[in-house]
Amino acid sequence: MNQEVKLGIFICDCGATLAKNIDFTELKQKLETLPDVEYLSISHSLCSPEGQETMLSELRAKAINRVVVAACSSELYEHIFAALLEKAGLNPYLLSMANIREQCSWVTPDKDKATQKAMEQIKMAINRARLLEPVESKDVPVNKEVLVVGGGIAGMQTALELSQLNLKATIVEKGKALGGKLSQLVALSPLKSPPEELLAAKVKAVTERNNVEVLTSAELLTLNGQAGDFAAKITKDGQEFFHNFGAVIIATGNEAQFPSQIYGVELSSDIVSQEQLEAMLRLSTMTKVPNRVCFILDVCGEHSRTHTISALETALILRRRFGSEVYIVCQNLEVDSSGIEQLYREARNRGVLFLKFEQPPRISRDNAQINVQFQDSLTANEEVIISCDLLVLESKLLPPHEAQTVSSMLNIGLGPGDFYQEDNVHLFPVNSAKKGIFFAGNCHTEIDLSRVLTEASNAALNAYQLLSTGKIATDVGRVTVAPGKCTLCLTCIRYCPHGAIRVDHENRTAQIIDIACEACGICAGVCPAKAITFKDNSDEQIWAELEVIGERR
Amino acid sequence: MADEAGRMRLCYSEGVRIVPVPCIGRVSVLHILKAFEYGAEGVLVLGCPEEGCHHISGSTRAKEKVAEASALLTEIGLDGERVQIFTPNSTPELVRIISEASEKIGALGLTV
Repeated sequence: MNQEVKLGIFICDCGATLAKNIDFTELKQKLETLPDVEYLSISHSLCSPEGQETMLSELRAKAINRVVVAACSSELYEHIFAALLEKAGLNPYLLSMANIREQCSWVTPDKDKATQKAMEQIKMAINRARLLEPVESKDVPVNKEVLVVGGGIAGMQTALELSQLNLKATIVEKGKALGGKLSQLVALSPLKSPPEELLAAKVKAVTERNNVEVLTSAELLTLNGQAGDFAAKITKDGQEFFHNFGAVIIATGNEAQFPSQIYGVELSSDIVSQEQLEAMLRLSTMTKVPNRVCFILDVCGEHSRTHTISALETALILRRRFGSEVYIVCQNLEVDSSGIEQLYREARNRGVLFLKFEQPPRISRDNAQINVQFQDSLTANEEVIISCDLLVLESKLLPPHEAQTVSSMLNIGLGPGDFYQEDNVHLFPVNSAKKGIFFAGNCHTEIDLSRVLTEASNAALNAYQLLSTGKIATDVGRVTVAPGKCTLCLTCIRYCPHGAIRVDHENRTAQIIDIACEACGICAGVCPAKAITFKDNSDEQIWAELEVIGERR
Repeated sequence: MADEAGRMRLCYSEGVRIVPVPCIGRVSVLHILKAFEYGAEGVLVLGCPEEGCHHISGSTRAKEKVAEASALLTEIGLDGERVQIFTPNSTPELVRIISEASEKIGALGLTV
C-alpha cells in the first residue's frame, strides 16, 4: 500500500489496574511524539460496550488507516477489535495488538521496567502496523454433498443426521452390508433396545432416505482437493469412479485384537475374549454351562468404556441365563458414561463380585480349572486366587487397519496409539487438523455407543456449519507467491502440511489455494528463494518488530 | 501459553520480548539472525510439542532451522547455545524454560 500511514493507538489500562506498575502518562507523552501518530487515547476498559462504542466512533471520525491496540490478550480479544475495524469500514487485517497486561504488567513487578517493556511492546506493534496490508475476503462456492467413510453405527447415524439437515450423504462401506460392530453385540444397556433392533431400524432409515446413498463393498482410494471441493476416487465391485464432495466424515471404528503376549495365555474354549463371549451368548453356542466365570479388565491399560459396558452386560446375562458365579477383576471401573453406573449397581445387586488389583493378575491352569491370582487392593492386598472354568479377557483396541494410509492420503495426523488425531481434544473433538474432514466414533478415540451417537450429530453439524450456505468466506491472497521469484523448486509443496499449494503450470510458479490454506507460514519459512509473502506475518514485519530491541542500545 | 503465564502471575525476566508467530514453522533462519543483528543476546523459539502440532510438521521444521541458525552462530564465533528451541507442555514449564535460559544466556553477556 502506497498510501500514507496514519496510526490510531488505543491503549487500555484495564480499569486502571495496570497503572499500578505502568506509568501511562509517560507512555502517552513518548508515544505521541512518534511519527504518523494520528490519534492516541487511553481508555479504562476498551473491551466494554462503552469502550468499543467510543473506539468505533473514533475510528470513523479520524483519518486512521492502521490500528494499534495496546491492551490484553490478543487470543481473547483480537477478533472483537478486528470486528470493530470492519464495522468502521477498515480492513480487519490492519490491526496490530500489544499485550501489555498478561505479557507485561502481570509478570513485571518493577514499575520502571514494566513501563519500559510496555513502551517497547507498543513500538513493536506500531512497527508491525506500519507494514500491514489489507486482505480481502471472498465467498467461494462449495459442494453440498458429504462423504461418510464407514457404514457402522457411527457412519449410519452421521448420514441420517446429515440427511435431516438437507445435505446429501454417501456412505462408503468396505464390508458387504451396513452395521459394522453393532451386529456382533449381544446387548446394549444404555439404549435399552436389543442391538439387532437398533441395527435394523438404522439400516431401514438409511436406505429409505432419498438423500443418503449407500455404497457397500466399496472403498475410498484417493482424496484430493480441499474443504468445499474434495475429489474422491472410489472403488465399488471392482469399478473405479470419481465423485466430488464438500466435506468428508471418517467413521471407520476400531479393531479389537487379543494380546496374548500381555496375558501370557492363548485363547481356547475356556479362555475367551470379550468379543468371543458376546458372540457365544448371542448365537447360544456355549458348549457347557460355566459354574464360575472370571473377567479380567484394565490389563491392556485403556479403561475402555465399551469393554466395561460389555463386561457388565455379559456378566448379568451369565447370572440370569446360567446362574453362574461371576467375578470382575479390574484395576478401576470407570462409570462416567450414560447408564454405566446403573448397570454396575444392577450387577452388584444380582451378585456379581468386583475385585480390584494393583499389579496385573497371574493366570495359571490346573487341569480344567483356571486360576487367577492377584493381591486384592480392597482388602489390604490380601492374596486372592479365583479358580474358574471360564476366563474372559479384555482385548486391546487398535486403530482401523487403513488409518496409516488414510492419514497420509488426507494429510491428517495420527495421535496416541496411532488413532486419528483430533484438532483439539477438548475444543474441537470431531475436527481433524484439515478443514472439511471430521471424525465420528471409535476411529479417533475410545467411546461407548451413547457417545458415538452424540459424536455423529456433532460431526454432521460441523459439516452443516461448513457447507449449509453453499459458500465459504475465504481470505484471498493472505499468503502469496511472487511468480518472478519462484523457481518451482517445489519445497513449499512438499512441506505444506495442508496440501494447500499447487503448481501453476501456465505461469510457472507455485500457487497457494486460499481455501485450503491454514496460514501457518511454514511455506514462507522454508522457501529458499523467499518468494512467498505472508501478508500479516511477513519477514519485514517480524524484522521491524525485532528492530525495537536495537533501539534499546 | 505466554498469556496464561501472565494469568498465573508467573514472572520471568523483564528483558524478554515476545514476537508472536502463527506457528513456529513460520520462523526462518533470517528471523533468528536478525534478532542477533539488532542486539538480542539470545533467541528462544517456543511452540507446541511435535506430536501435538496443529500444522503437523511446524515444530519439526522449526527444529531444523534452529539447528541451522545455531551452526551459523558457532561459525562466526558466538555460542551456538544462544539460540534454542523448546516445546513445553505446560505454562509453568514454559516459564521455567524462559527463566533458566535468560539466566544462562544472560551470563554469556552481550554479543558485541
